[in-house]
Amino acid sequence: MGDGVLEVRFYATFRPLVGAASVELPLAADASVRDLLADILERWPALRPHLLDDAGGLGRRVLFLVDGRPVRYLEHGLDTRIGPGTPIDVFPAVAGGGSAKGRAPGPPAEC
Amino acid sequence: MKLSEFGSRIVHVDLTAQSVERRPAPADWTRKYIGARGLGVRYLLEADPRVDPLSPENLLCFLNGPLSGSETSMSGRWACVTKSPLTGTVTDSHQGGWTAARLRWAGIDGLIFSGRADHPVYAFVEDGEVSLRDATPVWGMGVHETVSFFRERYGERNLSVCAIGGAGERLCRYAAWLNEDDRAFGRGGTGAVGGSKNLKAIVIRAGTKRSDVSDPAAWKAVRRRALDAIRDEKNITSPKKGGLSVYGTNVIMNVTNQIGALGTRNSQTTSFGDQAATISGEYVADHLLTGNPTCHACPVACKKQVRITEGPWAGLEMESVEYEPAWSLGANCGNADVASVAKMIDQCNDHGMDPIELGNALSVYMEATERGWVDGPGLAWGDTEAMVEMTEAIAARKGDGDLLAEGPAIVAARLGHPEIAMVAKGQAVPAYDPRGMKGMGLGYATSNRGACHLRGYVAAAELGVVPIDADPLEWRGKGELVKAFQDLHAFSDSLDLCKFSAFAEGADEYAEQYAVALGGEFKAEDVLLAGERIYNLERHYNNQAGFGADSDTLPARFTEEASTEAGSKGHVCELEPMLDEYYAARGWERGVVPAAKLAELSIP
Ligand code: SF4
Repeated sequence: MGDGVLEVRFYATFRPLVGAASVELPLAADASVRDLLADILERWPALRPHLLDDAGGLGRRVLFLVDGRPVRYLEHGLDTRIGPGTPIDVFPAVAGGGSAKGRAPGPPAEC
Repeated sequence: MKLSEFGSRIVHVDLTAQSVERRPAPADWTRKYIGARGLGVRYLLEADPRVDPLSPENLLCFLNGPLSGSETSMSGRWACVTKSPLTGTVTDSHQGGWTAARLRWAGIDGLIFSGRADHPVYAFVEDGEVSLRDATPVWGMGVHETVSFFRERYGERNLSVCAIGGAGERLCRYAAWLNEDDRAFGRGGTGAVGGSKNLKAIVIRAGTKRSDVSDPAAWKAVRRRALDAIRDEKNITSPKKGGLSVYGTNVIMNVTNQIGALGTRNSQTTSFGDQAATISGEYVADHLLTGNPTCHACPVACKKQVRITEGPWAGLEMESVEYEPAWSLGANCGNADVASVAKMIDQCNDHGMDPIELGNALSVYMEATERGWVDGPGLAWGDTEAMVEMTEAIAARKGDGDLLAEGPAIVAARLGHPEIAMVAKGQAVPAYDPRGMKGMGLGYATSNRGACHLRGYVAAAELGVVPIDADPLEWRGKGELVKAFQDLHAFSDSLDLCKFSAFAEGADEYAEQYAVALGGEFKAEDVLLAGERIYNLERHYNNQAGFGADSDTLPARFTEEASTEAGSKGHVCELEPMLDEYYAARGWERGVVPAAKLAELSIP
């Protein structure tokens, strides 16, 4: 994979922080999700408390999708290689929040 | 209003005899089954579980929980519990708004209807009294007109009206009860049970009353802790900041679409591609939103009121474009026009119908049309004007609408292709495709009211927003997880707190509030035990109603036809091994509760 441009889509409460629903970012050859995350945080520091946990890792509440798969469940995690055509979608917590004390579970919707 | 006296103010209404009698629930029942959902199922068990749901012998229970209408955050809920004419199972459904609170303030904990009136009636509730009154003038009216009628008659102040529309009167199998114009007892056809009994409405007049709790000093602190959790900016419940508060439930649309879990065109595929964007919560917020209504004692205000400004439905104002109907009438029907979705939701609110079931009846008919199985013009994917017309025809039971009023399972069977009905136990699936979220598939199959996302919202884990590892594409481990969610929700539905409270609170907060409000000891483990008991009671009822071993199934489309879309490509829902795990966790024999388990949980 050579240098190129990558489209990253943001959703819900991340959109006002980024100022757009979708952005195009330059991508180095052999870039990983970790590189992309660093680039995103540099461009939009307001996202930092939302994307990272206290230890500086990707927060558990963030749904960071690489080609439709949550990055935390990919074999190589943040070291997964990405190329110009890789779909990237970044969501804040959307379906729930979980207890303030870290306990389980919770749902949405009416009726 | 002593919360500890919950259960002592149950009113039994025999519609055949036109008699009203106050009879407290046995203390043993409220202790074991808490209230609302759990208590309702216990009452149902007193009637024969094999009863015809539309016969006078079926019971129709409207029950508060012990915290409904108190100052507890998100406590504006009550439950409707009956045997479903759609599924033949027990069903419970919950409404927000202010009706539950007003019932409590009127000094009543629940209303249990039996029999059948010989003419249309409504129940009027005020100052601890319930009377039956003639509903002939409103029979034939839609919900909106019915609400206006009663507001004119009794004044708008302190009044709640819960009513059925034409769909319930004409026994549409997925007819609903609506209150405050647009909050629904949505699923399971409870409105048809009302119609079969000639019961048009429940009208409650009551001003605000404070609740007496058993330990006022502790109560203040306990309530404050729960409220702080709801307001915590880390939680999606956070007022005006969290995703649920800002965008409503439809904030999920883009997520399920991108992970390949958004059933599209009757679940023939698992993503609506770029078209999902125009029916999403973000789109609604940017283009249509006019207000954020709420329910009693709720700072979240997740309801989204919209105004349509263009096209054939310009001028329509309604609430609320929720995720489920945006999916069922949108992606599921190949429809990317959110204005038409709003229009059909409003039709459902007025005629009193479940939009999830409606969307699935339409999508079955659309797939059958596409495959050439419908005589006549049928219905094309995304033909919004024809969908709106068909919705009218269903509520009126005219033409093919008469068939579609029976629900997707019967539509597909009558067209000779039962395999295209996406149902479990006769109830349509909601908005999470089990090939892309496998725990949800197990939840649909094992739900006691037919396919349902709310009996065990394991999506919270599969979408990674609660701290539990649950890869949506992994089937292993889902048996235990689904059981845990089901038990927790069985308890909160019996309290009855809004399910969204679980985004900020857990079993500890529930136990704490329950104990301090009613008095006595109650711990987190008691929450889960009571939830498990209620879930088993429901299953026991279903077993007696004819749902024996191997009744927990999913359509073959989910278990045999692999997804072709990004996120879930190549995946099916591995139901069988998940069921093995689940039954082991439950101690059930292929879906049947054995006598030993009933004894262990002291059921009934
Ligand atoms: S979160 Fe929404 S549905 Fe629940 S009580 Fe609040 S406004 Fe009503």
